[in-house]
Amino acid sequence: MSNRGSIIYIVDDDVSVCRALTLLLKSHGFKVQSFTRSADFLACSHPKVPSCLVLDIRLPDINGFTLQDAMAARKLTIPVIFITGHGDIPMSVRAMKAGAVDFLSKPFTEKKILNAIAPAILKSKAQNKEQAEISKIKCRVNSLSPRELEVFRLVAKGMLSKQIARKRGTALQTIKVHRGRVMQKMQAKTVTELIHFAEKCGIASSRH
Amino acid sequence: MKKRTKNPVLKNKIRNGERVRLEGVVRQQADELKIKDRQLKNGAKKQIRSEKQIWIRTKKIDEQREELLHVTRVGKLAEFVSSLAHEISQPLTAILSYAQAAQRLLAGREPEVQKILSYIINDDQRASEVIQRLRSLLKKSAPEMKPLDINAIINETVTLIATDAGVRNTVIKTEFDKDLPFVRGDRIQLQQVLLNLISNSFDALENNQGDREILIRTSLKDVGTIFVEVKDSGCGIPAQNIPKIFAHFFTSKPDGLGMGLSISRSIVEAHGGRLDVKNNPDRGATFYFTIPIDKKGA
Repeated sequence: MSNRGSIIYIVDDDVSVCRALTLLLKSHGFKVQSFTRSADFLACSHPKVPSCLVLDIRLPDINGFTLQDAMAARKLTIPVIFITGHGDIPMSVRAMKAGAVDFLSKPFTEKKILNAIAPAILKSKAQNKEQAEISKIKCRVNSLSPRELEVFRLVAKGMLSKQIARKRGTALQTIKVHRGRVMQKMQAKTVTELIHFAEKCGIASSRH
Repeated sequence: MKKRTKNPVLKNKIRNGERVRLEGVVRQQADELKIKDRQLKNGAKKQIRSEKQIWIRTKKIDEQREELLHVTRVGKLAEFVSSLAHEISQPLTAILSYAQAAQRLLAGREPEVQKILSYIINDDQRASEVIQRLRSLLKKSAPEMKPLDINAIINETVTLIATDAGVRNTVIKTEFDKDLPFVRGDRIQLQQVLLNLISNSFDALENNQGDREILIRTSLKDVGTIFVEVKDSGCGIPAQNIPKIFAHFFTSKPDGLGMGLSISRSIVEAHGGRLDVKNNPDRGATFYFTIPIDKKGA
């Protein structure tokens, strides 16, 4: 697997650990960005490429767990590998529960960190693909007129055109026209696909 | 002179009568003495018994104090070693990654340097194994969480440290909210926190001329939390030290390890509470912590 094009972020308050890991991972072809403070990592830009975060748990400003929460709040989905000099079990359990892909206790070998990074990058690729798809669908949803959006919602709920027409007090033909346009604008080949799109961008679960 | 009689018979009679009377008196006094002696003996026995009781009780307190001090020392040592392990594992991580990066960069070249790098890697791993072993050796036993009466724990702690307080001429006063619900915690660990706060106050009061008083107060902060304050009128804490005071290895005492407050804070946090400090408006400082009540018991 080529590592080129993947970014590894490192957050560790120890400058030497940052530098050494950067050298090691660069030698494996990764693009590496390291930070000694959580806030700096949050502030930098995160291009949508396969990436993962190698994160120390104890940090002076925001600790690793809090950073994990802050990332979730900003919808920054980057798989996290925790590293710690205090490797104890309760901590690792907490990390894994919060969605970390791995938990390494310091010091770790090259093999261990690479074995942790590989699945993290795969996960990141899958997440990015999913997000790209969702934003594409959202873009299409934005192109719908308010009427079309309403019809889309009701179709996604599983209503038939006839039911929609009755509910809205509109002619069946009009609903069919709207529905056709929704299918076209959403680039859905079948109703099943349309419902799938609705689920992905959260239309089906919203009000109305 | 007048009473002296010349009749020898009469004289003898009087003498006999006198002797009988005197003998009676002596006998009576001997009896009284015997009773008093018995009473004394009984009293002494009683006193010995109560002295023995006091001695046993003191010994028990001493033993408890020793046990607690031992736990505190072991706790300090464990915390110290674990901090040390962390401090050492940082450079070890860096060294290992440097060496492995260099190995990769030199791939296929410089066999001699490659060999040296592999030696560095081996020795780095040897050192980290030592640390791993040390860590597993000092793995802390899980705290025993039980419903506890915080006021009783404070009283126990004050008893434990009473001698010390006496020597230091310091009075420990308590002001308890009597109707507090139970908290959930580890008895020894909470005593450790209190002992630490009290002995810090002792040190802060060291240079007080007159009043040396520590006030421990408990109250209900809100439905789920109990609030404990340890207040002294000592030297207080310089404002610039307040943010650092709970950090590992921070100490303002010449012979301090800088572990007490950091351990105390980690204990309180492990109980789901918060330990903090503020300087009093007049003088001295107040350390205060919260501790959640025992929900199961409530």
